[in-house]
Amino acid sequence: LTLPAVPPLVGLGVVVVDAWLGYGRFMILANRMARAAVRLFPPRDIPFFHGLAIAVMPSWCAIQVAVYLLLAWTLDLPLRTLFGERFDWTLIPRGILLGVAEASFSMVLATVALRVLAPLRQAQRGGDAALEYQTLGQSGWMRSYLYVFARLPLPLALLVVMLPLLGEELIFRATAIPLLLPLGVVPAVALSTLMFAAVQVLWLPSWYQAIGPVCGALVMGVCNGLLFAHEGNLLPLLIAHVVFLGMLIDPARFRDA
Amino acid sequence: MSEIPIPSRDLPLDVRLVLVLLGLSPAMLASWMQTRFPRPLARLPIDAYSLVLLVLAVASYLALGQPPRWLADSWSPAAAILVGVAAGAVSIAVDMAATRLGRRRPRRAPPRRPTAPVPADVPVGDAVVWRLRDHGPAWRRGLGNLLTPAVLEELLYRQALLALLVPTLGLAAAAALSIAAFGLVHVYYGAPAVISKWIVGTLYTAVVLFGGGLLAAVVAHCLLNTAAYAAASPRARSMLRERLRERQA
Repeated sequence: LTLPAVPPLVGLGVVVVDAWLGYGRFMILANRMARAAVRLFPPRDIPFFHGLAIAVMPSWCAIQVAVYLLLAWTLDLPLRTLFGERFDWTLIPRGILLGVAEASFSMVLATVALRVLAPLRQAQRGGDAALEYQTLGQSGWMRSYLYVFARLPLPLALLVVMLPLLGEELIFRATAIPLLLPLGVVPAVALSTLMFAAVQVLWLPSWYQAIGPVCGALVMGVCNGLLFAHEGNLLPLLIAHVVFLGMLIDPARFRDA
Repeated sequence: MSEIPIPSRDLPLDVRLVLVLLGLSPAMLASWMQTRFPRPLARLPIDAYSLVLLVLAVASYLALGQPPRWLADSWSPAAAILVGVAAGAVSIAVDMAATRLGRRRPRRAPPRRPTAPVPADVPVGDAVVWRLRDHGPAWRRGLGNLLTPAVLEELLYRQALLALLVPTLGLAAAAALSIAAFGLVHVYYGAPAVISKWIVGTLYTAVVLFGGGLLAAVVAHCLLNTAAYAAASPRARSMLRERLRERQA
């Protein structure tokens, strides 16, 4: 992985601003773009808000790709080698297995965290914390992914879901890791993972519903961060991210969606 | 101290990560598979947990480039089996003591919902119910649900996972992590079982590293599983019936 000639603190600032804008202003901009697109081309047989949730994904991805191109041009971030210098088909099964392993371990981590934190939630809010998690466990931003899987055929749904995940990989791996690597591999991976975990909390009903996504982000942030620092190839990480999400989205909730 | 199979070649980081992460969470993956694909899995002679362990053990040893090392240097099979029987007796005593301690606590009314939902809404407890399912011939119950997991867990937690972790973490931390993972695999049986398996895992790891090698640990684990199944089968059958009634309802 070639490192850009940027001081580490400046790099950290760029990453923080990139994530802050990406999940703030740019998310609002993506919503406006999606709303305009859905009004311009109203989808048939899909409710307006489901179409809006689906259209937000390519909109946000387009903004993130534009931001990354700008950063790559100004800060000399990897661009041509982002998906490897040449195509290696073995990266596809390796990415799939990585996604399965990350999802499996993050479920263990989330189960333990939910058990440990359930008494705290019950003391805070009363009622049954487990029932609350079952009801609201895949709400907030996760519901958008449910709409995609519920309304689109599977290949198209996977393609659409891949777009925002590409945006996340661009922010937290392709931008963050090279800019933070001058601090060392461990601080770079730790900082990018912390930011990745922090943004999972946004757009969710409460901290208790964020436990699952945060545990997933901790596992994925460490593994994908380490792999990008060592190999500098985004392809297996993107595949792993899609598989991870596909495993954790519950098909039983499609009916509700 | 007997040797553990150290990787003979450098593994790519992603391969090492996949094997370690799956080694730390095979029961969760099995539970997820059981929830999503119950029909194809029901046709297999072994349960989902054993299937995951089998694939993982084979993949680990292929990646390590070495076959399992069953016997420590200068140990005869008879001596290893003898050590295994002794370790098995100790582990049965530990397990019984942990179960008794767990039962002493006053029982609360069972919750109406699973107490620990997981992100994928995997029904907690499915894995154990399926592992101890009481349909099918006796050989399938015994071989598929008792002895296969015992052998595969020993292959994984006492050798393969250690060998994958030692180059990065060192022997002590690798052993601690693999013992912790071995205990957490039994979380479906409750907290006393996890604590008991941590003690038993430490004993088996010591047996593998200082004593009769993997064969002794396998013998001990098979004895423990057989004793636990013999003691727990009526309760497991009632659990299964209850679960099936819930599903039918």
